[in-house]
Amino acid sequence: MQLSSSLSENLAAFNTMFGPSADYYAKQVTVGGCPAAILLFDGMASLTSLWDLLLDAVDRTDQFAGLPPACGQQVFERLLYHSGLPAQSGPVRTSEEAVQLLTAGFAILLLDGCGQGIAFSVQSLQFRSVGEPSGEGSLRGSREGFADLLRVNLSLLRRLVRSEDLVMEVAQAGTAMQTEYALCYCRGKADREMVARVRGILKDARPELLLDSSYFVPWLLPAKYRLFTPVSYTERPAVAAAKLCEGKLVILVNGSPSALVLPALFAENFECLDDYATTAFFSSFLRVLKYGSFYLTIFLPGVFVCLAVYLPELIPPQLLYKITAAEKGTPLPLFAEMVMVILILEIIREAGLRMPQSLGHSVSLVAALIIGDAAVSAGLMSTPVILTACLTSVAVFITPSLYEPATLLRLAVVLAAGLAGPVGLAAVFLVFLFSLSDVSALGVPYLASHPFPSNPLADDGVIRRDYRKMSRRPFNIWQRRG
Amino acid sequence: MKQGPKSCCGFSLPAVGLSLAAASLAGCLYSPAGAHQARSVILLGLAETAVLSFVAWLFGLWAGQAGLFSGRGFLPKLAGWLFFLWFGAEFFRTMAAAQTVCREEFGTNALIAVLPVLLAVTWQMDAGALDRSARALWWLLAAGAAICLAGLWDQMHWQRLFQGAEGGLLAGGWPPLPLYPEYFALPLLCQEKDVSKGALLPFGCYAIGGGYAFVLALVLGRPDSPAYAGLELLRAWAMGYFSRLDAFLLLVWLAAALWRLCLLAFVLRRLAWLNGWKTALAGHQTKGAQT
Repeated sequence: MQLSSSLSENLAAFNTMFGPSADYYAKQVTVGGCPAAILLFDGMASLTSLWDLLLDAVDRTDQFAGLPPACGQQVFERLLYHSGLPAQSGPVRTSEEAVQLLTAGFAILLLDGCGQGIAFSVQSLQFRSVGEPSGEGSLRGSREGFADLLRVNLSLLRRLVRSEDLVMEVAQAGTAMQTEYALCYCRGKADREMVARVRGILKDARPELLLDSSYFVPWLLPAKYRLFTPVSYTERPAVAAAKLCEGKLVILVNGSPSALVLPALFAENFECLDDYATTAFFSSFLRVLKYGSFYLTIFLPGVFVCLAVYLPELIPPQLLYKITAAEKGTPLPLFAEMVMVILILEIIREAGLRMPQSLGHSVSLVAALIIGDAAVSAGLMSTPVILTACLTSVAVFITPSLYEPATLLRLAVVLAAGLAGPVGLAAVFLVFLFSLSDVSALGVPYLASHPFPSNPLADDGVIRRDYRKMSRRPFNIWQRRG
Repeated sequence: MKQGPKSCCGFSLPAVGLSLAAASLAGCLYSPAGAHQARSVILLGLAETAVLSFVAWLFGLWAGQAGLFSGRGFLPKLAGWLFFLWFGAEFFRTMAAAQTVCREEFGTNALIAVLPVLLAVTWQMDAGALDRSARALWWLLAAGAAICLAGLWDQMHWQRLFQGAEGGLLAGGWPPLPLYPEYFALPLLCQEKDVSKGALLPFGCYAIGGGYAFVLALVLGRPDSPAYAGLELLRAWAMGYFSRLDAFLLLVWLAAALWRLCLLAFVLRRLAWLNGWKTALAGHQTKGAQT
C-alpha cells in the first residue's frame, strides 16, 4: 500500500499494524520545522545511534539553519539528496517496504506532507557469537561458524571470498514469516543456467515456514522416496567458501546457521577441512577408514545375521562355537535380537540428543551400560549381538552427514538378511547401490566419479593426491555432470 | 535412416559388459566341467569369438544405418518384437539360473519375493543410474575373482592341463558359443560412438569362459564324470581358517545376476515403448533441480 502524504494517516496505519506490540516504537518529532515521526522496533534498532547520528546532526546542520519552516517534501529532499546523513539511497514508498525495513532493524522517518519515508541504517541486532560449530569438528583451519543472522553470515562469506565473482542475492520467501534467504555463487564458476533455475525454484517455493535452508529441499529435489539427498550442509564459512570456489551454490536462510550446498557428491561426505591440512598419505588412510566404517555400519549387523543363521559354514569354527554358545542362552532368535538391540540403541541415542545437554551424555552412558549389562546378565541378549550392534552404532558417527540413510539402511539390511537370507542381502545391496546411483542434482549425479576402469581413483576421491598436484587442476563441480 | 537419439538406452560398455559377464559366469558355473579340453575352449573359442565379433560389428553397423531400433516402419517394428522376445527369453533364463543358485546353494526360494521388489525399485530409474551402479559391481566382481584366485593358487598344478589330452583340438567337437541378444542390440543399448567398440564384447565373455576353463583344468584337471559342474571350482576354494567361501562368491554373482535382470527389464520396457506402448509406460513428475 502506498504511503500517504498525511503523517497522521501513516501513523494510524502503522499503529493498526503494530500498535499492540510492545517492541513497536513511534516517536513524533519536528525536523526542520516539519512534523515528523520516527518508527522502529525496540531491540532491533539502536535508539542511541539514531539520536546521535540522525536528529542531532539534523539540528546542527547548516542546511536547516536560518531557513524558514519547510514542507514535508522539501525536508525529505534535503535529507535524502542534499545531506550527509546515513540514509538508505532510495525512498520508502509503500507500507510493505517500510515493514520489510523495520523488521530488518532500520528506522523509518515519516514526514507530514510527504508520501515517502527515509530509512536509516541504525541496526543493533543481538545475535549468537561467531563461535565454532559443535557438529563439525576440525583440528586445523578456521574456528568460525555461521551465526543466525543472514547479514552476519553473508559478511563472513564476503570476508573469505574477496573477489568480485562472489554474488549474494538476497530475497524474501513467500512464507507467513517473510523470511529472508540468500543465494550465493561465484559468477565465473557456477553454471549460469543452473543458477537461474535454482533462483526460479526458490522464488516459486511456498514453504509454510522457513526456519532453515533444508526447508527448501522438497522444492529443489521433489521425490516421493529418497534415501540419499544430493545436497550437503555446513555451519562453517570456510567450508561454504571452498564450495563456492568449486562452482557450487550456497543457500543461507535468516535465522539459521546451516548453509545448504548444492549440488553435492557422495564422496564429499567422507571429506573434511583437515584432509587438506595433513599429508596426502594420512588423509587417504583416514578416508579409507571412513569408507570402511560407513559400509560396516550398514552391512555388518545384516551380514552377521545372514552368516550366523543361513551360512554358518562361512564362519571360522572357533568363532562359530562362541556365537552358538552365546546364542544358546537367549530366548529370542538371533535376527529378532539384532533388530531389538539396534532399536534400543536408537532410542538411547535419540533420548540423549533431546535431553538437556548436561544430562544427555550421562543418561546415554548409564542407559547403555545398565541395559547392555542387564540384558546380557538376564540372558535376554547375547554378547556377540550387542558387540556387533554397538560397533556399528559408533561407526556411523564417523560420517555424521550420512546418519539418516545409514540408520535406515542398517535396519533394512538386517530385515532383508533375516527374512530372505543371502538373497535378501544381495537384493538389499542392489537397492542401496540404486538408491545412490539414482540420485542427482542439477545434472550432477550423486555418485559422479571417474569411469571404471580407466581412472577409478580420482585426484581427490577415496584417496587424495598431493595438494600441490591437485591445485594444478582446480576442481569444478560442473565437470562432473552426467 | 539414422538411429533416433531417444531410441537408444544410453548404457556404457562396462554396464553392458557386466550384464554379459553375469550371463557368462552363469554358463561357467553350471556347465559340465571337463566337457571340452581347456586348450580347445581357449583356441577354438578364440576363432569362434572372432567370427561372432565380426558378425556383431557388421550387424551393428547395418542396424544403425537402417534404424532397426527406431520403432518406425515394418522392419524396425518386426525387429523390435523379435528382440523383445529374445531379451524376454534371456530374462527368464537369467532368472532361472539365479533361482537355481538360490535353491540349490542357499536352500531358499526368496528370489520369487525379492525380484518383484527389486524391479519395482528400478522401474522409474534411468539408464544412467543403472550405469553408475555397474561400476561398483565391477569392483565387487574383480574383488571376488581376486579372492577366488588367491584361494585356489596353491591348488593349481600345470601337469593337470595335460590329463586326458588325447586326440586333437576337435576331438570333443567345437566348444559351445553362447549367443546373447546384447551382441546384436548394441545400437539400442549403447550410444552411437560405442557401437563399434561394443563389437568386442564377445571377447570379454570369451575371456571369462576361457579363463574359467583354464583355472578349472589347473585345479581339477579333466574330471571324467559329467556330474561335475563348473561350480566345483568355487568349492575347491580354501584359505587358512576359511574353507568355504563359495557361498560368498556365489553371492557376488547373484548380485550381478539380479543387476542383469534389472537391465534386461529396462531394455524390455524400452523395446515395448518403441513398439508403441508409449502411453502405458510414460510417466510424468516434477523434477525440480534433480536433472
